[in-house]
Amino acid sequence: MEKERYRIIRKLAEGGSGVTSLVWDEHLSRQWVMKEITLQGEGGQTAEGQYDADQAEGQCQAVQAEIRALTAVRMDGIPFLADAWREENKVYLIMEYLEGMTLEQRIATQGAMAETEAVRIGVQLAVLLQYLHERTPALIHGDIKASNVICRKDQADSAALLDFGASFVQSGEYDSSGSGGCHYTPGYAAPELIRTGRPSIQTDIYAFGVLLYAMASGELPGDCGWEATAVRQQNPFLSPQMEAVIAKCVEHDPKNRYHTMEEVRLDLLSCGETALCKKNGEKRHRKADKHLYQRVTSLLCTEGKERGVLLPAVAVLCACTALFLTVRAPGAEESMAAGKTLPVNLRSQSGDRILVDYGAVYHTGQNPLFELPESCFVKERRYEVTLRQRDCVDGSIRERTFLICME
Amino acid sequence: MQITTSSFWWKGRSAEVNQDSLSLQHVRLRDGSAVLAVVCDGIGSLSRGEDAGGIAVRHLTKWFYGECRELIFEKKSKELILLALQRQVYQIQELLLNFQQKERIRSGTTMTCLLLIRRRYYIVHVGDGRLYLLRRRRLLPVIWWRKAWVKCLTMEDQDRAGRLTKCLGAECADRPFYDTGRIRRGSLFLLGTDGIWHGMDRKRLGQLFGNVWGRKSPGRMSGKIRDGKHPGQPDRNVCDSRQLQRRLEMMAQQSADRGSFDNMAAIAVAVE
Repeated sequence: MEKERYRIIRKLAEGGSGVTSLVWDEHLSRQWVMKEITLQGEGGQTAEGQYDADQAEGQCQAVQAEIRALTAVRMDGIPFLADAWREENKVYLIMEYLEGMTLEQRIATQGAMAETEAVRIGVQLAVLLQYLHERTPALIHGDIKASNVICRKDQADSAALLDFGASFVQSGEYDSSGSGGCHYTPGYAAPELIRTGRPSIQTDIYAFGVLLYAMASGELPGDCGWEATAVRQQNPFLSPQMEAVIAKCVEHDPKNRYHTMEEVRLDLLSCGETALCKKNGEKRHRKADKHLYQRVTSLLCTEGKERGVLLPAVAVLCACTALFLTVRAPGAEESMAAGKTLPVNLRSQSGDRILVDYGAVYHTGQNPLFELPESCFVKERRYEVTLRQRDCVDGSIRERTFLICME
Repeated sequence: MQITTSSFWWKGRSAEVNQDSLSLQHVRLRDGSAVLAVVCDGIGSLSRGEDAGGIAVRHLTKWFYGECRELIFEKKSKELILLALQRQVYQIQELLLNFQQKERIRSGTTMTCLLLIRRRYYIVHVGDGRLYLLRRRRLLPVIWWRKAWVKCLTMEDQDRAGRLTKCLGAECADRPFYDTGRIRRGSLFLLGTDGIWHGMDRKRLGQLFGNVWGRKSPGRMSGKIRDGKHPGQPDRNVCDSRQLQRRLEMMAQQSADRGSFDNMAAIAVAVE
């Protein structure tokens, strides 16, 4: 039995369809990754005793697609397929072992990356994807996400792309898709992929843009989806050019996105970061905005009142407006809500946290942003949040009430 | 270097107003961090000490985000930064004198200020607050009650009877204490007003804060996958802000148990 040739060292991952393990090849004396995929049981029955013909067909097609994809491509950065066989209701794939940390693990442990690092990994992935898309017929990866990208340990400055189980051959016929349907990861799936179920080069570009966002901001898209916010609010050290590349990758309309990964790669290179631009052995450094910093803690505790005469050159813009914020949970006793103050954060329009001194008057020329931390709310309980504005000159009051339920 | 901060602010068991003020500002730069930690204790025997303390902390905070920010990004020398700090002390003194004239009162405050810029610290001190530096013991054998090396970096401006001899807002604040030095990894700065130091000595501080770093010393990046850990994960201990917060609360509780009724303000800055 071919399986006896491979000795399992340890399990790497376990998913719904099978188990991925690190194995030792007794013949060649080297490590491989063995992917063990469990198909429908004998007699066409699943483990639960029910037969699902569509699911069985889709699973077979997925495995065949992965085998086709891996045997068709040969490039550094994509694990090659060394062997494949079937035993009873299991299919075994033996692939090259690429040692390293996945991007998901790296972002989860180390947070946002420096722009040089994100550009370097992005360019390498763009080259790999361009290689796949240029093939005849084009090969769409279909499942680009942080857990499918590895930062290789054996080769410095190198990223690799894994898991071609959702790959799709763009030959003009939808039936040639590998997954027998639509497989996508929430958060990385383009709107048209969710709508039509048809992967394309543009859906790969969209997922790539989400990946760039995750690298730049340190936030992985969750299961409930992903909201594109200004990435520079998450990482103020990011350049506007990089932000523009990410924004163009994740455009809702695929016609407004990049058309090829080559365009993405060129724009990433022109972000001006140093790691990829070497001239005469010297690195060209990006002219960073030297006034960039990120506030980690901003705390001022005093019962002293701020006197106007003590502040030099104060321009009073809104000296007569007072804002009050109250929170009341429906059904809660008035005595519980009365006398309690909320830890409200005040931010500028660019997202910077303004000093919080509740007795002070804030002078602002922009829209102030009030932020209630999550700790103010209990999950699955509904709250009424009322914002009340009183004009200190004529005493007029305006207010607005919101209903908020934290899930 | 990773910096963790925590603060504690309490009006004490019997005071109606907290005349202590504090400001803690921590910003992350491209090549390090900058921290401003200031504690002020308004003079209780004078008037409106809380206002005097508030003037001092607000002024220094505004300066941190103004001129100091330029000094940080222009990477000016330590002498220039110290001179700039000295100027701020004199400006605070002017503000307090104007405040007293305007309100026709006598007021004053102590001030202990710690400024960390990348790998250097700067101290400005007037009054009876204290700033301690604790360092983790790595080479010497660790005894349970001597887990940290403790040093007081400030001089107390008090006479033999324990009376305050110098404060901001009074005529005698002409020579504040200044100091600067390099920061080493595994350092913990503790600054606080006199209320929190009641009955506290270096031995008790070492017992209280000596184990915030845990038992492991910082290691290098592990190259092999060991025990399920992926390569690239450093096996070092970083004390988190919740631990520091608990230690500060314990310190305050111990001071209160030893008979302190005064306001308390303290800041802990751990550098790892």
